[in-house]
Amino acid sequence: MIDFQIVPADFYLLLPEMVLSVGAMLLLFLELFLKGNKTVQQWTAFAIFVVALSLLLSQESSGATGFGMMVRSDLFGQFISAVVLIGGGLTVLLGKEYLVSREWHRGEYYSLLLFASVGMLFMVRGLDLLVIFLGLELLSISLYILVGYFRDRLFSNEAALKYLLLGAFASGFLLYGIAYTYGSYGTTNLNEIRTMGSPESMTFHWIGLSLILVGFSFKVALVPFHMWLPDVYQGAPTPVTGFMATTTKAAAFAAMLRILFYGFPADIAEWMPLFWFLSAVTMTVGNVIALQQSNLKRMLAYSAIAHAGYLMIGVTVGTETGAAGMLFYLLGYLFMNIGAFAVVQYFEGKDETRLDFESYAGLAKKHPLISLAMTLFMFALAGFPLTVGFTGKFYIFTTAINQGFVWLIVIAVLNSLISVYYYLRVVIYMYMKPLEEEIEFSPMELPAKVALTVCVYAVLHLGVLPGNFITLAREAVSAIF
Amino acid sequence: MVNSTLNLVWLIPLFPLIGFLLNGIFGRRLGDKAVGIIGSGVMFFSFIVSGYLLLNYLGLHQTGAEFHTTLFNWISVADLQLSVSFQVDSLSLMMVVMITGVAFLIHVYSIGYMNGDEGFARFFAYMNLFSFMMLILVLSDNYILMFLGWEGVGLCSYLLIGFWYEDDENASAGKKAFIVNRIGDFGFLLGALLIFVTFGSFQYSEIFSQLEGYSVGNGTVTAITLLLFVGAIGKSAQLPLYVWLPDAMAGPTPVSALIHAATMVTAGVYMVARSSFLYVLAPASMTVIAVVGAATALFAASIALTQNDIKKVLAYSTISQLGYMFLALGVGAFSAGMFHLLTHAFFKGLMFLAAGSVMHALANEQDMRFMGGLRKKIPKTFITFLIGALAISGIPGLSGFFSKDELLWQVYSSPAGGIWLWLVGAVTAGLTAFYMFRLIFLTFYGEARWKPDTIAHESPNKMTLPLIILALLSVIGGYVGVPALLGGENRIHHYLEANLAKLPDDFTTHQSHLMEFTLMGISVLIAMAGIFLAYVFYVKRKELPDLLAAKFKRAYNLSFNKFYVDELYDYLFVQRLITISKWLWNIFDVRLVDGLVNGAGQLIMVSGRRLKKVQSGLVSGYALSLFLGSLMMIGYYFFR
Repeated sequence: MIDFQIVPADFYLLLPEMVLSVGAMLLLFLELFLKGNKTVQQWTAFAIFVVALSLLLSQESSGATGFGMMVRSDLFGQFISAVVLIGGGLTVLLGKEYLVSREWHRGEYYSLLLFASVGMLFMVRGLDLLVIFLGLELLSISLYILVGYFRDRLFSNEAALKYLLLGAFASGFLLYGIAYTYGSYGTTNLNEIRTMGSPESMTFHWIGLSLILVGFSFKVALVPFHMWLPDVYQGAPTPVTGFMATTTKAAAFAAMLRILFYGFPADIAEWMPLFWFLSAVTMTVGNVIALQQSNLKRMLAYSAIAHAGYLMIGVTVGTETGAAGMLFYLLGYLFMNIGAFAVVQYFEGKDETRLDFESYAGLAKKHPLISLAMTLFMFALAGFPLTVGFTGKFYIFTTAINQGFVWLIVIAVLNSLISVYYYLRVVIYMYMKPLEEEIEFSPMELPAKVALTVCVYAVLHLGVLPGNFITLAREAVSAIF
Repeated sequence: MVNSTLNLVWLIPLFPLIGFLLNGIFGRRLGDKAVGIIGSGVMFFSFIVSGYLLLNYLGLHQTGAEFHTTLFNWISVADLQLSVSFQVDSLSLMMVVMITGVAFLIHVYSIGYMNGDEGFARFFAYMNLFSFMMLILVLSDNYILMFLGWEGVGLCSYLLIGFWYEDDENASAGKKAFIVNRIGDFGFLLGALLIFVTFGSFQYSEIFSQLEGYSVGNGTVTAITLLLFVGAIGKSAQLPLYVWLPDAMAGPTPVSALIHAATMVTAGVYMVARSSFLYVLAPASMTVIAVVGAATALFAASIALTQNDIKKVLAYSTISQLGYMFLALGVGAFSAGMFHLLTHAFFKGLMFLAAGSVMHALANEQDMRFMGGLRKKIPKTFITFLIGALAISGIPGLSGFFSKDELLWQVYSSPAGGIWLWLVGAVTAGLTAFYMFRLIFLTFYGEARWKPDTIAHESPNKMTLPLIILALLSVIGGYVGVPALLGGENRIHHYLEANLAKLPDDFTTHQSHLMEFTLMGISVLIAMAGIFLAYVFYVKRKELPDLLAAKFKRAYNLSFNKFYVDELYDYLFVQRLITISKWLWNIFDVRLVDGLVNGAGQLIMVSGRRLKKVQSGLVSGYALSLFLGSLMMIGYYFFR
């Protein structure tokens, strides 16, 4: 057993989480006293994200553990936590306009984002299956509420209800898996499991790991665990969808990587054929169904499923470079997807009537800059050179093909070929169709503009000069191997 | 090797990039005049630098020297090195000089052609961006940077085809071009990845230096070369992926001249020539290239015979001529293929611009049935068009004669070629002469069949001057490659050969001069016969075409309807894909909310009604899939 002692250094290690949690509660309090001007909340929340991020980045990444090996501070955790916090910050910047125009601008929105981020940080930095589970639950509960945030809208309600029912189901599987793992190892600590090497009961071990993987497959939406995703993405408020699509995916994949590669390194080869299958099926189903969509949020939802398939290639390969490719891609995916959803939320209008392709017809003429940004994000998602979509995919694909996964990459390349069609449709409508109706959009507010600019810049920077970040991702994954 | 003057190569793509940024960002504020000057000015500077570098390179007297310039490291991690770097050698220099020169002329022409168009600045911005991407493509020293250019030119092509986007047809033509090209890109990308797996690098010189250990016929190299060729098929519009190019004619005519005749479509030829060291190790791939090239040349020429749209004739002609180039590459005559690429850029660019001038004269009429009798009305256009047609037909003394003759001779004499491939080439030459002069006679001779209220007028100098310069080049451009038989030195061959691979067995010496002379004579005679036949059909006895069409109705219909390939593809692929997608949709996505067209009011109503179902059926369906998935995961353990 671990000698459980709490020393001050442990708290230092958890400073980012503490700042986020305290900040979230502070915002709830502020809500009581601030009635009129809610810009303060936005800026407070943003400041909290910035402070947490700088605290996180200032920590040492030596692999120090705290609270009796419950959490671990390493570069891997820092990398993905940074992705989560940046995503949270961008969502804060984007959210206000959207909520104000629907008269739903409340402080809860920000504190829920903060709570969700705390959950994700625990998922990513936790070294114990139970801590990871708690993080996941904190995240999920915050998300259930965020998805159903418009509680007077049936659409939003329906999505939240479905997410809650299925999410609870999946959490059950995960917890059950952890229980089996405990049954086979006598501990839930990944470090101890790693050092023990072989389980006492192989069957329990295997069932446990299977069920844990089911839980995460649900969160990252691998086929056939993806069914909830399109409905939920479509029903959730658009900024929340962007937040879910990027940060949750990053955190869930990171937790999966840590459990698999750090906790059960001997198992990776065994699972390879199944992962191969999941990866191929997920990207194919995602892409092919996305072809049929005419609602942009739904299209992006299926695109998210397809991307989970691409990312799964990294897990299938099972090497350090494969995992590094995933990390880098998750970073890039953050910017291209949040950017895309930011444009969607700008154009969709108050009552979400302008979500189909037709309503993008001819927008380039009236909104040249935003259309250009959308074009960039679509090209990035499709994997065009000079965007991070290309460098990320390229890195994952070359790694996989170097390890001999030729057919998987053939399928993947074929898939990205198919995907161009539906990403491009947006661009075609914006640039090559006549304007359907004259609609005045209120000009974008400064925070949203800043967020969009950051996304554009990051997509280009990571596409043209990815070197440092790929190196960083490679260093980060060495922490879990 | 490093050379301080040749290091200036980065300036060549820089100028068009500046042009793109200026025209793209400030275009509307600058006014059309400034936009035109910037757009063509940057190409001019680029051309000057390219020419200067070429002279410098020639002055070095180091045949086959390669110079590398690295701008910056793109991706640099332990097992993957990728830099943005350029390679200057005979091949890339020839390409940049040709591209910048022709592009400059076409930009100048466009100032006149696009005059008054609403999207004037946008047009020049796209054209500059295209030139930038094309220059990146040919200057790159590795396959990934080449791929960047490759994708970039495709993107610009697509933007420019759909330039007049008010037109639905144009937008869908652009889409078609894009999708078909993605199939090609799929091959290219897989080929590049396979290269990386095999050689551990993307850089040409690093790859080619490792080839000594590979024997002729090596399976991996064959796979690589075939995959790369799939890329070339898409980009250079060969069978079976040529379908996008005729549709691409929907774009403005200068675009057709620059992108779909002179530069982008030849990228595939360039890429194969650039990879020649790989190709000579894969005889099977070479045979595929030769056969695809020959088949495309003949097939496209036979379609061009019956088309009535002046630009469509030229489009099929381009496909056919690209087939010629691949035929040459396929038999190992890489320099002959590149030579034809060069002269083709001159005369085909010329003819497209001249066709644009004809359309300009007749209020954008493209149908040759409504032309005729234009010879006297637009003399400059007529003379230059005629020169282009004579050149492509292979009339002695013009550029097309030298390149085509060299090409056909190599096809005949190469051990990888032979009499049959030559015969296909010769027949195509005859067809080419026939349809080109059919076009000339229908357009410029006979009675005027213009639509009412048309006043034919010659184009402004901005448009005719580029025509005249290109006509001049179409005449003299071939003298860089006068064969030894006619007392020349075939300079271009000696210039290029050191940077290109040779077949293991050097063949040109085995054949007699007499044979070469005979074949040359035959191909000239065939061309003459084609022109004469066109003269009989379309000037002397105009009833003949209709009579023949009636008599050979089936053959005529096949050609006229382009062998129904579009319809076939639609049936085979497009409809299938839709079916599969719908099928998957039904299986995997039993959807609660039909996201198709519902308006908001309807949505709330419908979802309200459906909300009841949430508790009953559908969510449990979702959960069932979750459950089955879990069973699959656990089952995997027991049945693995």
